[in-house]
Amino acid sequence: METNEGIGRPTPEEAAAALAAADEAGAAGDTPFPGWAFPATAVLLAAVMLLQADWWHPAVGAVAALAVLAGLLFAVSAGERRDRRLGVKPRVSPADQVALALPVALLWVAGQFLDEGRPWLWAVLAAITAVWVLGYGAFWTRRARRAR
Amino acid sequence: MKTEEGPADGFDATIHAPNRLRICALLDRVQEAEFAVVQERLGVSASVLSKHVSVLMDAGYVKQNKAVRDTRQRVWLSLTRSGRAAYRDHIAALRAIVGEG
Repeated sequence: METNEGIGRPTPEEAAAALAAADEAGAAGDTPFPGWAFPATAVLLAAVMLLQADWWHPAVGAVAALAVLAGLLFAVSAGERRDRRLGVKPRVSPADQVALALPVALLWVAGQFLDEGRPWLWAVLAAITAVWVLGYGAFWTRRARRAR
Repeated sequence: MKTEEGPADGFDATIHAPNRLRICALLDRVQEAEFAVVQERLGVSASVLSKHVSVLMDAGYVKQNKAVRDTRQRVWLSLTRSGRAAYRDHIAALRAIVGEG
């Protein structure tokens, strides 16, 4: 078994070889998100935005909110089942989480301040949210493919 | 020429051992991975992986969670926060040695 004995600062050639080995092993760990993950997230977040508009009949709003909640639970459950089947849980870095969620949160806050008399604003914000999440998903997938 | 270095520059002798470096590299890309998947993707035996994981756990770099699935116990491995930081510092130290840093 490898021990720490004799492990000192490597030469540039040894360091380059170690980096290459680490890159190869890292690529072996790459596990993409399922193709439906970002579209499902986009639909759910857009639906949450649309539900903020006050044009819904309360009963319709309640049913829609329940449908969104059920969709969210189903998506989370499907994701966990996939992770267990593959034996790998993909990682989203904190930077990626912030980059994805912060603009959506800012849109939601802006909507809360600007929606007075403009319920259509939520449809615009929902569309922007969906496009943002889908665009980020495409960027994330392309970056993950490039890293492999 | 090899010279011994302390952890100050990010170089970490515990991580640098070839198999441990590969384990950390794989775990750095995931949130969590099952023991058997790590073994298969790195092409190492269960005993070798187990020994290296023990060393990394003793260093506080890797943690394991046990979960039962299909009546069998599965072991999931992940890097700890300090393990991820140590691995990335180590990679930065290697890049600096190569001259990329």
